[in-house]
Amino acid sequence: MSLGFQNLETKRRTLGEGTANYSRAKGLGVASAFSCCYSNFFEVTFGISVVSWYSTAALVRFLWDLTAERMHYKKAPITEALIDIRVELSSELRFEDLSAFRKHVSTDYPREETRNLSQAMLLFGPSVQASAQQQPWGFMFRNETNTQVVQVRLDGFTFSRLEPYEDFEHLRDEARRLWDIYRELVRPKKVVRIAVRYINQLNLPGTRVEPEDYLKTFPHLSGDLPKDLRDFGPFLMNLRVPQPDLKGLLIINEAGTPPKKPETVSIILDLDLSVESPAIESEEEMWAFFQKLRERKNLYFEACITDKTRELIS
Amino acid sequence: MIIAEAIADRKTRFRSPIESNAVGAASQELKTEAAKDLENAVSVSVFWTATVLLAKAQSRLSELAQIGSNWDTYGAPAPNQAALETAVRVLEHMNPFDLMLANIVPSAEGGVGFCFSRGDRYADIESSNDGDIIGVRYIGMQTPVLIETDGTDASIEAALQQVRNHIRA
Repeated sequence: MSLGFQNLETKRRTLGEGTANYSRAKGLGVASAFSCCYSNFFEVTFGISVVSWYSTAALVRFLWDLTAERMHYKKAPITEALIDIRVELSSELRFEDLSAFRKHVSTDYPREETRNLSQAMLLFGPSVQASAQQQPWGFMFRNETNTQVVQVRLDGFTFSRLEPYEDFEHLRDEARRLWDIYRELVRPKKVVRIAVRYINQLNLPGTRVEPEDYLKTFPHLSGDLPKDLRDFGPFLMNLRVPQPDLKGLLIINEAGTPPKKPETVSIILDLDLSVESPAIESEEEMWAFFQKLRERKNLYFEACITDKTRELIS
Repeated sequence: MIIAEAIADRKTRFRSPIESNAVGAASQELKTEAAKDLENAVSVSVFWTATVLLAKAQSRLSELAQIGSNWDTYGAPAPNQAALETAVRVLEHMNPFDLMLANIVPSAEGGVGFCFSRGDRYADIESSNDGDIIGVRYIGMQTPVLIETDGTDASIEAALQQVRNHIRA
């Protein structure tokens, strides 16, 4: 078993280096096709049961390596990227205790809102109105330019980077800085869920687009229908995709949304990857785990879009 | 198969299963699940919170288009088409954080009001039936200060900025 893994790793490095430039030039399709052949070779050689676990992890890593250098798009369509950490707090902690967070962040995040428990529920009510049953459950602080938002709540912590997105390193480093303040303040009993989420808004040229030109994951209406009855307008797709090796869940939300510019069709591609009760022993492990989540998210993003989309955002 | 913006219907764009009129057991289960999913989806995301609030605000304007005169039993006129169209323009200038605080109501003088309050601070922007956009701001019992616009996008933006500065001071 270990021999198979070492060989796989050695071959991955060798072949990865050898094909990196070609795959960058030709796109993920080449990498996918190549990895299939590669996987088949090992399945034949060592048997599926021997290498299946390793090959899943290694292939993900392999695909990631091949695509890593092309991940930073000049016109990245990310409208919000967030790191979310849900915690279990002491039952003695009160909403008011969270206000101490303010003094640590007020310079960088001077704008403050109170988030109410009913605020989300309010969304499902008959109208946008104040609710008599509002119960404060956290604070939202944002910077002067409305590009960074941190939420501290009785159920956890969220850091969001809005447009324009920089890169994961900025997102992670600022989230970690703010998380350290939150953690010191509330002393969570444990981390019960961690997540990375990237919400992309793709603005596709034209008022009518063929989804398969830009997307590889989208709602598909049966080809048995007459052609002129297969067109559709706004939609909302919600897919739950288990991630067995991470013991996590990826939720893909894809939706039509009002376009930002005229003569475009706008589509949201929202990738929300979470792990409940993550097996982490330390802060270092948790932040290393976020890196894994980010890599997996990137893998799905690349797999969801076509080269035509890549051209749009490059 | 084509995705076409032209097929969009603003009123139903974000309509979710939980807003359907079905009453069967399967539908109830779907409503519960969808509500839970949606709540979880929007609860931590600024983008989704804003998107849903915007959809709700649009839906609220659609509701206001349906109310009749004397809606307050004191003879108040219903918002007319001009007021509603101007209200849509005001809405387009609002950012996600404005939407979190906005309460959209019919005006007793005829029109649509966007009301904001925080503690003893209050402000509103009203799109009136005669096409004007005018607002007011005050603190507690202090004398109200008028917020004026000339109807241009720049003046609407400036009026909203006054509201933001006042409410969040």
